[in-house]
Amino acid sequence: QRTPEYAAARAAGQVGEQRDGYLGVVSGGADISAMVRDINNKRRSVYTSAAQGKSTIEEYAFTTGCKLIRDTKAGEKYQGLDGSWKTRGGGAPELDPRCP
Amino acid sequence: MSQEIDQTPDTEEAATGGLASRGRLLRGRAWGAPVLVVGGLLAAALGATWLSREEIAANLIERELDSLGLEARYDIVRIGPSEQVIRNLVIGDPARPDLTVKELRIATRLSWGLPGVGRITVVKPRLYGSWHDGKLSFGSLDKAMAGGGSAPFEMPDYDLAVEDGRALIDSDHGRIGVKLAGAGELRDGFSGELAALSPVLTGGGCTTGPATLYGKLTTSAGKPRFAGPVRLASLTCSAQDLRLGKTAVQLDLTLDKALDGASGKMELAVGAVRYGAQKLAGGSGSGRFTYRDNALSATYRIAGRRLDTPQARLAQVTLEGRARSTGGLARFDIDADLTGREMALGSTVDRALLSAQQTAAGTLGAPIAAQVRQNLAREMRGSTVNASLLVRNSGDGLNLVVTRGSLKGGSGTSVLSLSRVQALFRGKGRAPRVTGNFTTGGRGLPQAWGRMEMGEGGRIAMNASMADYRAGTAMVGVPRVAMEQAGDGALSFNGQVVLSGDVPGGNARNLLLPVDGNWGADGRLAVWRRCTDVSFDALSFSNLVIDKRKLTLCPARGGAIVEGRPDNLLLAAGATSLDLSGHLGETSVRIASGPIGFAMGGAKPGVIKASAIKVALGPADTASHFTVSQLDAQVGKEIAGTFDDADISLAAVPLDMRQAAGRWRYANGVASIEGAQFTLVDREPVARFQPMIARDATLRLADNRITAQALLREPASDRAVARADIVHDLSKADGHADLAVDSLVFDDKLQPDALSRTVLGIVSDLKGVVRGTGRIDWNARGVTSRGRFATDGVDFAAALGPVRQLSGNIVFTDLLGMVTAPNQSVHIASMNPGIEVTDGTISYELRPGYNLIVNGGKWPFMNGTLTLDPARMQIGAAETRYYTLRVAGLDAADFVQHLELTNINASGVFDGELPMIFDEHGGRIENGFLRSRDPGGNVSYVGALTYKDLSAMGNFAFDALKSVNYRKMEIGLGGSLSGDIVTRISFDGLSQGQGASKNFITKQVAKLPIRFIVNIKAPFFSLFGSMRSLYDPTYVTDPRVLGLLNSDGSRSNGRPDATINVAPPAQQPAPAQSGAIQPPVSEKKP
Amino acid sequence: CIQVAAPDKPIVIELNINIRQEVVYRLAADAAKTVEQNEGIF
Repeated sequence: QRTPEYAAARAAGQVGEQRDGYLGVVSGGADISAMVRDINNKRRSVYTSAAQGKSTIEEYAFTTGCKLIRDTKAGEKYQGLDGSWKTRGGGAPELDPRCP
Repeated sequence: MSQEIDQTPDTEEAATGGLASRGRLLRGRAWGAPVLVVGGLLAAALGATWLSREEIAANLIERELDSLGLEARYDIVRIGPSEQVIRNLVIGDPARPDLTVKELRIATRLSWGLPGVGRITVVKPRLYGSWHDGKLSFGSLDKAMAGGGSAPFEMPDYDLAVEDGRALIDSDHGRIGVKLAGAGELRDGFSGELAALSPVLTGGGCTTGPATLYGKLTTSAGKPRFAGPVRLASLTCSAQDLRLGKTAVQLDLTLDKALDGASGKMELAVGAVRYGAQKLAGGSGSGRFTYRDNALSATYRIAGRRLDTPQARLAQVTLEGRARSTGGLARFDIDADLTGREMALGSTVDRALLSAQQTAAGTLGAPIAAQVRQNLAREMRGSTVNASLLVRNSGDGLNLVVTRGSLKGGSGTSVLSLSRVQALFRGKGRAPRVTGNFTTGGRGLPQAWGRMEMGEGGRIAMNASMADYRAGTAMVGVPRVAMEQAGDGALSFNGQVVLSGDVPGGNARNLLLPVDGNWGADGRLAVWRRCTDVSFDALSFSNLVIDKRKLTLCPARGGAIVEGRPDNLLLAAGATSLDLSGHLGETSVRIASGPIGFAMGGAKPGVIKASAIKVALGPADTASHFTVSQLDAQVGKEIAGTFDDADISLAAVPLDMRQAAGRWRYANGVASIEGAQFTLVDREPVARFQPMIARDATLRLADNRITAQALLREPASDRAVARADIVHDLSKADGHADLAVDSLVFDDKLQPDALSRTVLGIVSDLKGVVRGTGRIDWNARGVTSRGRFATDGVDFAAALGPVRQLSGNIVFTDLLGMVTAPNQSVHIASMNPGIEVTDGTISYELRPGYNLIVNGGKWPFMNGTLTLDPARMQIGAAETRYYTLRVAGLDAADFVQHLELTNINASGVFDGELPMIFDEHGGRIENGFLRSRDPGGNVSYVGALTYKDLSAMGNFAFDALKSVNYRKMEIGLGGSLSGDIVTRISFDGLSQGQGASKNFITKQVAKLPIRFIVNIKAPFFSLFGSMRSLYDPTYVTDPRVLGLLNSDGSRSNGRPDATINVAPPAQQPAPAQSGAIQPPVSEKKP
Repeated sequence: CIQVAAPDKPIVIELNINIRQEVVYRLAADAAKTVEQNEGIF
């Protein structure tokens, strides 16, 4: 499951789920951005092999992004339609209309 | 008739027979005129007596014998006026007679008219006496002896002649045979030969060999005198372990008139004498003595040859002096001047020095003891001893006083001189009390002087000092030492000793050691009871030299630093802290420590315990630091122990060792560490690599060079990463480390970012094996490192997408700075930044600052090649990177075949450029183009049309376009690699390709310069996917799998189909539902 | 018959083909499965 640093960064709102299915840096130093890059490398590799023959990597990533934003817990960050970082509240998150 | 027998046991009883005392009664005193009258009367009486001489004689003897109460038998032979002769006189029990005389002739003469006794001739007297427990007895004659009143004894006034007189004395000391022959006036003028013989004499625990006494016995003026030799074959006293060889004494003894005194002189010659361990080869001497009123006074001169005592041997020794005694021998004092020549040290002194030399082997004691021994032996040759002694046997013990004594060495200088030395021997078992002064000297010998005083209450105080005594580099000096001996013999001492030279394990220069302690009467020694300041000019252990310093050493609580019995000494010392500076070889070193303790003794090896040790090696600014929080060691033949929680940072080496612990050993100049574990940490503020651990590392420090071997492991996975061989020269502060990475496996348990944080985000999910070697060199100028690494194939995920089987090797010119040699190359089996490209080779170079220079890349692509133009990239930085891919010789047929579009045929060769931009969102192409080479090619659809409901126009167009020749095709490309690519295809110089249905219109149209532009905006990828789905049902994934339909075929509760047409934002895909074409999805087979 | 004179300028026939696929809906389940299999990085 998640590494402690990653879990802590999510809980602390230093990172957030972007609409394109990748992780974004909300606030945090070089360590946080290096960790985010590492996670995104791994996500891209998963999307690349998962999208084979199904869709473009971006579409697959986008679809997953919708699920990830929907699954964010209260207090975690996610990217709103206008591109800015929102904090997940109690209710449903602001989702891209194209999400399934 | 009585005769006082001289008490001295060894003089034989003079055999004058029992009649000697008879004459004393008749002597009178003559006085002037009355004498004449008396004379006349005397003459008349004389005549009367002459006639009755027989009776006189008879009754003279008779009366005498009766008056002595002696029972005697004798035969009267003749009684004449001038001589009376009797024979066979037997006195005492006839069976065991006390005295027998063969013939006794008494000549009578007239003196003043009275019949006086003239010469008495005793022929062959045989006297039997016994001498038991000090009492001389001649049997029945004893009664006669008892005479003599208070008047002082005097020799009997007889004229005696003894012929062949013999006596046998049976004493508890042995049987003594005596022979006497001689004649003369006993009181004055007797002269005879006296001989005594005894096979063996025992007494006082001694037995003698055959002893003889022979000499002339004379008397003059009433005093008997004996002169002659006394010979003793041997004398052995087992009690005193005394053995005397052949002894001859030329005696010349004159007894006093009353025999209660004597004087005389004697010459002595003694054979080998052995008294205990003392031996004398031979001796001679002479002396004069007088013994009167129980007091002896004598002068003597004795010369001995080869006196050999355990302490010393003297070739010649002479003793000369006077002796006086009172009360018999109870109290005597002898003073003597002793001179000795050719003194040689006794074996014990030499053995003591030799054993000192051997036990002190390896320390400064050895050369000093050797030199003393050698010089002493040299000085002893031709040495002379002279001393004036006084031996007094006073009431409470034997008192020896050496008023002055000196031993002069062969060189003439005084080796040992004593003054006013007094030694009191109080009998067995009690330590002698010695007082006095001594000085020692001699060429090449220690100069020391000391005073000993008798304190009150029997305590003795001594203080001495010794000048610094050098032997080569070794030196010992005793500025002062004071010793005090209590009444019970307990000795306490304090003073100062200064030492230079080798000490166990090292060398000291001017080590000043205050010494205080005591040596109990019970034999227990305790030295340094309190904290002691020790100072030294230099202290060195092999090549570690500690500069001038004062140290405070303290004993363990309550004890002393050194205590125990001399044969089992325990040493325990501690210091609250150390602060030393010095040099290790040429490198300066500072050592500081917290509490340190050292204990050794008994059978166990010594133990050192130290804590909070800080060692700084080298000049202050470039010093290597060793901090050890716990160190302990066992000190035996070698020093070995463990250390814990140590941090080691070598100045020039950019790596630090933390929490090091392990076993260490120091033996003959080599310090080695085994089984060491430590954590290796990069000292740079931004660590270039993560801490790594090592176990069972080894290190060796000898002649200022450190060599170490360690297998470095990544802590979490405990996987061996690299074997390090480190060499470091402490004095020159340079060295190198060889790193060997045998086969480092990366998998889910070990990822590169665990080794170096800088790689995080660059290479993720690395799987595969890497091997290689590295070398780091450092010296005063700085650190250089290089390395060569290789892999046969690793997979990883990178920012530009997953990479499969990257292989090749990389040569680093600066390994730590991650700088490579120019044009490194690597082969990548497959890389998928959106479009999978395979079998690529990239040439690159890493420049300082993680700057990646891509010299170029080449991929075979559709029978042509893709080449990547040189580009630059800052690893790890979030930046936008620009690349240009050139396409050359792309074969359309190959392209179609590669995408398995079986129902499409294409031909023509294309070249082009795909400028790409990569940022954190991925890669996209901007105004890429592909251009067909002359003479162009053909695109045709060869599959069967499967959709019937294509409109007429569509059918017409499709038929017309089923096969199109083109003279020139240009494809414009743009959009996200992993998203939609907008492709703008324009055909020029069209004509219907072979197989296309031609008709009038198409021929006309063929002539028209038609440029046919097709803008296809679709996911580059699925573009092909969807075309294929037009004709290949298997190419469509089961909708249920996609979750669009429930397993029962009913529509899943997904959102209903809706058509949204949204212009695609730069990076968002803009899927929208459109067109009637059934969404094809298929699993693409590479 | 009809002669069509070849104009000097090529006749440009531009055909925009927008190939759209309605993909997103189909991927939701697949995406869910993928997230579940790699929860470490999502």
